[in-house]
Amino acid sequence: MGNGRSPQTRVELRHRPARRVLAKARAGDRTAFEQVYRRFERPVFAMALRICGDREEAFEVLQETMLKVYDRIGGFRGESPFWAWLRRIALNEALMALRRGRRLAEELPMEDDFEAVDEFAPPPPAAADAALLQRALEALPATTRSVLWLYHAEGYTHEEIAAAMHRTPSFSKSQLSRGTRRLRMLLGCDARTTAEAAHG
Amino acid sequence: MGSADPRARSMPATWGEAFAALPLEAPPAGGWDAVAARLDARRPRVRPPLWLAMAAALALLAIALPWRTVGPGGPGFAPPSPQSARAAGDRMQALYAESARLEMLLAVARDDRVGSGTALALSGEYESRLATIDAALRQPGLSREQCQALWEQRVDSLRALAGFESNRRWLQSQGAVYDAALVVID
Repeated sequence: MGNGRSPQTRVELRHRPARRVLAKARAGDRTAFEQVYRRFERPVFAMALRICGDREEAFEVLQETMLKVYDRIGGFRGESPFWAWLRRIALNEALMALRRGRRLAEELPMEDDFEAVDEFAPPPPAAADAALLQRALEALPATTRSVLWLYHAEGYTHEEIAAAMHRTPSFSKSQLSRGTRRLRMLLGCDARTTAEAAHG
Repeated sequence: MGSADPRARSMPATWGEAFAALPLEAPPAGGWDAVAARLDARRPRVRPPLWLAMAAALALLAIALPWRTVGPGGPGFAPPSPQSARAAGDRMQALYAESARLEMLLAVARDDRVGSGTALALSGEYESRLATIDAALRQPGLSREQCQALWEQRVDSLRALAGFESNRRWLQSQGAVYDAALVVID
């Protein structure tokens, strides 16, 4: 999966549960499942927060995700990495939360002739500032932000994003293109405002 | 001498690097206790999730079918005849396209600034139904037939929801509310 970047692999390596813990959790051992929960609560919450943009909602997504994982972990066969399996459940829950909140329609207008230039160019220097970048991401429409996050941070392909959102790959490409451009603009403005405030 | 700009120390070369450098936010404390309490409150489950999701989607679809008789998706909509049925792949493409078109229509038709509790509740019901179908669609190992059946349901549900929202907007434009229309008998 993915487009060359692999933060998900880092999460997998950092948070990979021990085989025996996973085996016990699959067998219904509550203590083992608690270990799985504690190992994955942070990455799940972080992804849900990026998609939903709201801590309370992200916490609810985390809870629902883990309840579903508890129900389904017995069926996990290890054909894919555990984090990839769990993340798919979490993404579904986060997208369902957006839909329930009617924010799945929050997106930048589609373009017919978008250019895939912006998303491959290096980000502006302001992107190195976590606070600025977080603020700029929060300013994006929910669906656009989700596409950017899934593509750039989680390594999803346009086809995978389209499948998860029940849209077309063109939709994903267009949102990525426009969203990246908007993010650049927001970071530019934000960085200027911060610099002005610092020197003013 | 001033210290070097900390941003310059780790300038991200890609958006992926920039995003990966964001702090991994911690969830509120007590998450596990809440999950454990919810697990304790449940009964043992014996039903398969896909079964449940599909049955729920079908039941909800049955509730919504009357809307198709009064909404824009009702008599005016002609499903493709068996003679003109295209290959399964074409059908799926047509469903994707129709789904995308209806999602766009919904985004335009919907106006949550006004609306009664009843209308909003019904609209929420449609949203929940769509969420249930979407969840079923994301189940691994679906056959082509199951997938197509779910997509058909999704498009039907979207059409019902779009019809509902369009009717609601039309009633609003006439100064009427959805609740009153529910009890009008011609």
